[in-house]
Amino acid sequence: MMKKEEFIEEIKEILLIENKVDENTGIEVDSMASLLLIAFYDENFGKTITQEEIKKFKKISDCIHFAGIENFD
Amino acid sequence: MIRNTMNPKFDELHNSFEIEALNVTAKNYLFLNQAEKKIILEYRNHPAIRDKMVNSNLISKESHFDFLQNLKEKKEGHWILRNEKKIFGALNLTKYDEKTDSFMGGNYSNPELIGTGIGFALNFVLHKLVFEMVESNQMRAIIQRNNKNAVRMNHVFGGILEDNFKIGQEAYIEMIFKKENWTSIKKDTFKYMKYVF
Repeated sequence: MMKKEEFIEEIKEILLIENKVDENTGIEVDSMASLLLIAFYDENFGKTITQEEIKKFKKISDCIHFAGIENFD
Repeated sequence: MIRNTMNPKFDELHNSFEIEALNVTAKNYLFLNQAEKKIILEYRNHPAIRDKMVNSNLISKESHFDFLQNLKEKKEGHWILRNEKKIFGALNLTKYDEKTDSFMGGNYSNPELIGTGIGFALNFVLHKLVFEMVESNQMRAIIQRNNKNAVRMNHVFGGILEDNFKIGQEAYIEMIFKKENWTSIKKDTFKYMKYVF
């Protein structure tokens, strides 16, 4: 199980976000980031997602909800 | 297998090849049928593709067919790529530099596949081609500086910034990639291929 803070740091690294974020921070997912996210969800949560679905993510909270709140420490 | 020069690197440029592990076949432009010749021109002239190229002008049918006709005399390679029979893009190696044993590498995708991660697959195949098949020491690539997706992807493939320059109003960077880094980069990047195909 991953800590939520750790998850957010991973997401920040994938999305190349340097500033502080919270769950309402807006995000933009390009092709490279979506590929890294797909691999991240698969490797860490066993979850499958498509590029089309990931590109609909608009906020950090979308990333968290897809991972599933129940999967965090 | 074409052997027509004293330089094995240039001979390899005129061959077609397969990457079984990825179910990818690469057909050299020298062997394209008429339909394939038209398709690659359509792709290359698509606005979403040519806007990312150094030469963003429309290529006429005449100059395209002249280019294909003259290719066998040139020391460069161009390939159309298929995965499970679907054409997903094109690769090229041009402008060989004997001093650095390097080619300029380029690629463009089937415009229908933009945004699917197919650029990653194209780059993986390009690196495998230049470092494992042609066995060059280095590869160079020119990328539009504001194409953040491409700049980032080239970093993932081990690109090192070599130069910044402008052509007209458009800013570009040149990156180099080294054969000595390919083994570890291949290991890091191969795992993403299953998410593309």
